[in-house]
Amino acid sequence: MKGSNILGWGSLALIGFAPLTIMVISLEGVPSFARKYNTSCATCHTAFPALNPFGRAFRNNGYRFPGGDENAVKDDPVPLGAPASKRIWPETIWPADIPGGSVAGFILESNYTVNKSAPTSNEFDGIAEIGLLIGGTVGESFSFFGDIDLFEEGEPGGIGRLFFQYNHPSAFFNFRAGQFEPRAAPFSNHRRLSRISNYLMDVFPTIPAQNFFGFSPNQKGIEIYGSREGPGGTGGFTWAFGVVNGEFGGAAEALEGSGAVGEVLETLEEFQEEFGGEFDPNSEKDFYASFDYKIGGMGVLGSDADPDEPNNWVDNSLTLGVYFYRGVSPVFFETADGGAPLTIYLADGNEFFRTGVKADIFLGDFNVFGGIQLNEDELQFGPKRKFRSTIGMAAGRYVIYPWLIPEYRFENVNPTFAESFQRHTFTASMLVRANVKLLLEFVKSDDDAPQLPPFDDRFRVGFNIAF
Amino acid sequence: MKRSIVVSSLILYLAVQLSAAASDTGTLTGKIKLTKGRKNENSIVYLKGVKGPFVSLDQVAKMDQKGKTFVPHLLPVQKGQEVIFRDSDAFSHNVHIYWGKRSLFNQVQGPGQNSEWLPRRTGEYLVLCDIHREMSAFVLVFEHPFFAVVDHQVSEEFTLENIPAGMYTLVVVREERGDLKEYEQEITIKANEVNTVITEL
Repeated sequence: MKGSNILGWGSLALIGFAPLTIMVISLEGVPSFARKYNTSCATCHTAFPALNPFGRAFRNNGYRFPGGDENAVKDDPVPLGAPASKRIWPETIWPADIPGGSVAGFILESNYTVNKSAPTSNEFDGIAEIGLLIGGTVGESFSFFGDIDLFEEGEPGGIGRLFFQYNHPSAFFNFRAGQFEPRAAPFSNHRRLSRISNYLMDVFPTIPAQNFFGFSPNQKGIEIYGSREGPGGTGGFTWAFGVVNGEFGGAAEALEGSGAVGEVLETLEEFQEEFGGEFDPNSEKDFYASFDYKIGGMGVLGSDADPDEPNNWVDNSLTLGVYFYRGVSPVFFETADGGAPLTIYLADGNEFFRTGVKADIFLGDFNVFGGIQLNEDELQFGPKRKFRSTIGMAAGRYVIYPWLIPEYRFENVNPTFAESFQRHTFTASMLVRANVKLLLEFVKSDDDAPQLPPFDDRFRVGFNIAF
Repeated sequence: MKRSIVVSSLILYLAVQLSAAASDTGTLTGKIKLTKGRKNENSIVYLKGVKGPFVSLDQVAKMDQKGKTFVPHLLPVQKGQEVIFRDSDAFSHNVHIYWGKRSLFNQVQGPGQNSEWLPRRTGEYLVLCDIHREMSAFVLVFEHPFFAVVDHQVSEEFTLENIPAGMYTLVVVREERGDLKEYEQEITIKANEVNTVITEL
């Protein structure tokens, strides 16, 4: 195959504009859990959606209170069989229960954004998003979780994440299936404290390879994962392995309509519609693995945790993690073989890897976290060109008061195919109430950043309420 | 004359022995404080380590089917003591008793009707209602009569009487997600005294 015309970064300057509100990643913070346990959002969240150590243990326990759920649940479940009847199985159906109260909660988001690079330099978005959050457990072993964008950027939305999972009593072997953010994501975009910009490690595309993969907002597939606490019930390790389709990530949505890049996206989607599956562009599945080890602090399963601990964001500990993702993405190119122009589409034309290390440090009222990720893309035809990016991130937040938490994030992107650039994000999160949040944020990229809407400098005032 | 003296002496001797034996027993009163858990599910307390022979309890034990619930949820009885299950609801129930996975007793009863059942050995018996599958209960059968039901919605108190003096283990039994969990505490019963224990779960 001769010739290729894969967009390099430099060709993407001075392209069209895209809507101000971009790469909206749904929030996680499920009011139904607050109702089930008759407890405040602050039991699990530093400031929703960011999880405190107890909240992380709650999640690792399959959305159940650490140390046993039965005594903590205030909302009586509806029994589907008496628990004791499991003694006579298989003579009866294994017993379970379903949530007695509502499993649904809602989150509303409204923003005022200033962006000097946009056609309209500042605007109110009314209600930017109405999200439906669902979560609950079924019996002792099953649980489900989801966020559905009922309304987003003026349009009906779709399913963000929706999955069910089986949790082994030991919590060491669990399985989930559906649409979820892989645990290989270095830091969850859904549980970011700052809302104005995504973690670039999660969503940064390799545009010359036409690869718009992202860990966020979700991938469809299956995952097995588990946790085990460390000595003395402190720290511990968590692991995950998954197989997913490998679909477009958050960058694709953000770059829709963005001139040349938007055209590439549109072409890829058309090819996928014609030659690919309903969800997956190719038959090859992506796979990933991750491993984290926590030293000190609350056990990863929260076995000795006290949900009523007053300063529940304090968790003096160090967590180190590694992760690996291997995927295959489609590529198209134009060739003039034989004189007539021809577009070649290869559903598995690009093989890529995302590999990284990360750290998460809690010390008193401080939390510092970050990592380094290596992105590698290799085209599987012709001269097999390679594209690499190294992305580094360092962030820190400080709990001044339980309701006032500022955070700063620094990101550095160093691609082999374009200029390196840096981005700074600052967020002040103020909890007016445990479920009502005010955000003051700004994001600034340096002059070498791509001339694309996700990298515009922006200032935003946001208001979120969950119920 | 000699025979009457012997008989009288024998009677006097037995009376002394019996009164001495009666004074070798004590009473245990206690309270089981439930700090967490469902108060509408009672606990059972019993003594472990008591040696026989034992006085048999004559009265019949009762378990009610009321509000689609077995009341009490855990029922202790002595071996040989009959259990009556009464349907106190306005609709039919079923009493299905299992020993392990083995079905021992299975009877449907209408409103106001009773079923009688005599457990033949000690141990745990699971009681289910096949019509209302969320209902369950346990009958625990003991050799001795030193047990009591603790109703956490009423008083959380219990009393065990005529316990031979000595050291025993007080066991509190609760159901937790289908399993019977036992919580043990060492106690000493002093003769002619009311011994008190408070246990917090």
